[in-house]
Amino acid sequence: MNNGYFAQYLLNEGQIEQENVLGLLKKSAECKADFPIAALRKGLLSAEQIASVSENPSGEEFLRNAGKNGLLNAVQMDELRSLVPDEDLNFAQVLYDEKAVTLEKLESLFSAYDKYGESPVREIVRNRAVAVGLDAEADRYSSFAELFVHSFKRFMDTPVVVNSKEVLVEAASLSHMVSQKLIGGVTMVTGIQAENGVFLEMARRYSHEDIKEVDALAVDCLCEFLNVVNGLFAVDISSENVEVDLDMPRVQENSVPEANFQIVLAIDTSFGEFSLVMAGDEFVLR
Amino acid sequence: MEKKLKILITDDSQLLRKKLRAELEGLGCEVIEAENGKEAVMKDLQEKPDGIFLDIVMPEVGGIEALQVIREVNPEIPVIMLSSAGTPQKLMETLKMGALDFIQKPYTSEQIKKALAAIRKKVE
Repeated sequence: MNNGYFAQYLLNEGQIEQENVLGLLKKSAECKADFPIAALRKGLLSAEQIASVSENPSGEEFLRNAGKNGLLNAVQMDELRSLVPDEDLNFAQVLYDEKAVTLEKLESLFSAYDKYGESPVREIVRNRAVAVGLDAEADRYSSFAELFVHSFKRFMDTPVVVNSKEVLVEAASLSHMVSQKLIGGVTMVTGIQAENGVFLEMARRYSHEDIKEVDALAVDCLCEFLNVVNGLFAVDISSENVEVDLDMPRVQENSVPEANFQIVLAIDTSFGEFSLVMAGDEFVLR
Repeated sequence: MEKKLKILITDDSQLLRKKLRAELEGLGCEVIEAENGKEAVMKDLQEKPDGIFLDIVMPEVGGIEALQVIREVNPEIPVIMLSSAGTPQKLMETLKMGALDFIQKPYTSEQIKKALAAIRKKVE
């Protein structure tokens, strides 16, 4: 069962449009799911039962009415009160608030999501890699992307979706790109490219420091983040008896990545979008 | 009263040094810093720290090379490897070379406390 990848699942399945993902993620980061959506997700109530409680139920009033109607007992109500909504729940709440889904639709989507055997991040990255002729790299790249997204969520405190749209970054735009090469049993270069505003926000979130501009510390933060993720990936693949060393991270301003066996993925977060780059050789030239 | 430990942090990341310095100073240590392996070797000789936290991936002289030199000139000093490159092979290699422990980045406060206790035990 997947947790924290509901938005990714919905995008993969064509239930949300790629151009709407960024806006929905921004809203979901500011939204706290209410009891009805939580009750639906936890399987405590069906869509039909929720609708029977009241026309527009929410908050404690919803719990009281559900209790009066014999639909929830005291233990279940306490369970919902103590639940900290995760990003799946908050994203579902936004879709419901935006009237993009009904409760019935949400119920069927949750059910299909729970039965979904594949990792939604791996799936989209593998499909993108195969679509651009990188069949041989597809498994490695999708494994890395999954670890990257997981780490990004953990360290940057944001929901994340790998978007299916094409990335069009203007070379002239004010941006920064960091990369790091893995050498050994696998040779692969990974990197992050972002316009300066998003780059700065990533640095702030990773460091918990009040960084005001893209300076040496901001660049260092993103290099260190990439280094940590690549290190975790190196440990992961060492279980397949693939040993790699990490090269020094590199940085470049205002340029676009160009390398062999390259894939550039648009990553949407609650504070903007950036590119995750994976390639067979270096794309940051010093 | 416990001896105030002098700890050398060696990492090319400014962020890592800043965070680890705060962590170690919070635990009552005196902290000195080096940005690469070459500086670490020099500071080990000049400042005579009680223990070293040593990264692996660094410019000029990396952590493995630095560990080798440090162990030759100062075989008793406790060195904790603190690196993202924590594969079993790297772990075995550095422990064989005499490192006291290996912490995979990202570290936790608990791991640092434990490492510091190990350094103290070795020193006292």
